[in-house]
Amino acid sequence: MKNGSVALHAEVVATRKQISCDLEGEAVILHLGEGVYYGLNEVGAKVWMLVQIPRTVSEIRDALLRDYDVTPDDCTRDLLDLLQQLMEWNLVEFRNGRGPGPS
Amino acid sequence: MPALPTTIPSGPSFGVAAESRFGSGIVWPPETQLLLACSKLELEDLGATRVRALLQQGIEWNRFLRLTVLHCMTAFVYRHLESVASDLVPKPAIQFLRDRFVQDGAAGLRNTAQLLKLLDLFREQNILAVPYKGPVLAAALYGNVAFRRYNDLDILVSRTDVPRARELLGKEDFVPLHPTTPAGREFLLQKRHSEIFIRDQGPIVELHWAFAKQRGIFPLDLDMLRPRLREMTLFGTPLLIFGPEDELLILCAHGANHLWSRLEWLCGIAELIRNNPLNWSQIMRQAGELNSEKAVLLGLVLAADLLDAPAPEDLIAQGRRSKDVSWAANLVKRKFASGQIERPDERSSIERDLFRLRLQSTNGARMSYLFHRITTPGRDDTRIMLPVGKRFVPLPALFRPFQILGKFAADILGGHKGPDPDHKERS
Repeated sequence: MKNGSVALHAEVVATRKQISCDLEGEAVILHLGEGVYYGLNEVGAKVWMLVQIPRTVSEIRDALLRDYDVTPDDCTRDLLDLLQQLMEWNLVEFRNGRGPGPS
Repeated sequence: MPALPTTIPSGPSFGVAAESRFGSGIVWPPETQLLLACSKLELEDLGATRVRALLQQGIEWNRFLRLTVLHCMTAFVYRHLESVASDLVPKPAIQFLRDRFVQDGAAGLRNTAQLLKLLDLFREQNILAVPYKGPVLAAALYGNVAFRRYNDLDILVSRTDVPRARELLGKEDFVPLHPTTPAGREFLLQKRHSEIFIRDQGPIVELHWAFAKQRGIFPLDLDMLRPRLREMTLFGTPLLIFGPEDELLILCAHGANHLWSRLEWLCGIAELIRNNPLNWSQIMRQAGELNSEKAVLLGLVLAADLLDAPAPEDLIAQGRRSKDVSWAANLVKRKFASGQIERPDERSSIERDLFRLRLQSTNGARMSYLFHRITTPGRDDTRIMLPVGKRFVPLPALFRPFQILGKFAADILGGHKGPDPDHKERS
């Protein structure tokens, strides 16, 4: 993990060029510019729901720790990987701080 | 997990009156009962108990899944079977429902994106365009565009805006499904209520300027609806949609027009009633003005009887006292119970016309319906227009009465007879 403390304070939010719907714990997202669909499993869908308004990475991580039986380190690592992926797909953007950075 | 009851609840009210509400003498297969049990957006404990109890009875899964898909109830069924009874459902069935739900969700997003783009274009040109049914109804009633399955986008504009709307659709590569001449387009505008547009990548757009092809039958248009439109936001885009009372009227008229052949339409009525304080005096007054009283009463009776919708008891009683509404409700219930799903080309013309005739309020309305049924050409009949005086008339219009009589004859000779709802079957 690169510069984790900075990444944890970064604010992340879903971009506007997409629409999505909940599929009973999963999610499907349509990127409007690219016309590409993305599917998220239960955990990914939970994260997706949380980034509909700007939140810090640590807030999202803490929400996941409340719901899932996972260690903080594992949770942080997996969350940053997911956010990195979402950023590469142009589905989220980071504000007021650096994002996860290249892995 | 709650303990199973010692007796299986017989209907939503679980009481002595349940049989009459479901229709006396009608056999309800367990698959249809299970579908009805899953047909609420939120299942309370009693509903969950009923679902589990029905699953314990044994379900023919191919039949049940077919009914679920044909009635466009995949989202509801998947939600409830997954959450309250996944231990009682075969894994392939859950997987089928889940995959289907994902497909519907993806298609819903695609269609929603196209709808929002079209509405933006109309707005830029100062055309008031009100979307209805499709994703807008799904979002308004169920909070999720994936909860309805729809292949087309319905948009209502004023009659005077239709030419410009057609042009805008043309710029987006939409072409009329039934190409016609300028005289044909003018004829459609006067005599029909909508035009269908298609393009290679979809979706289908149905541009409406009224709700029924026959003027005088449900004479509602955008100018009449405008004062009661309400605001809604869909994915950040502000929209204008029908007020809940108008929505109920339109949904009841639409369902009646199609003989309530899709259960999801009835779910929409039930959820609308559950989640909106409705001005019932306004609804019934408008229904009277629109010759749609019986259609509304039919929708309420069916939603109450089959889906436990909290419609006013006095209106339910009024519907049950009406011979025509009772006859129509019984017919719809028998079709649901039989699992009979008819594609439009399979539907008996006689049955459909009799159904619609019996729901007209007055003999005058019935005569008007018959007159327009016999004389109003279809959308694809306007390719060849004949000059008659100062106007143009579609060539097929001259043969329309024979065409209609031919359909009736085909129904009779082909063995299509409207089922006799007075025929008693053992339950």
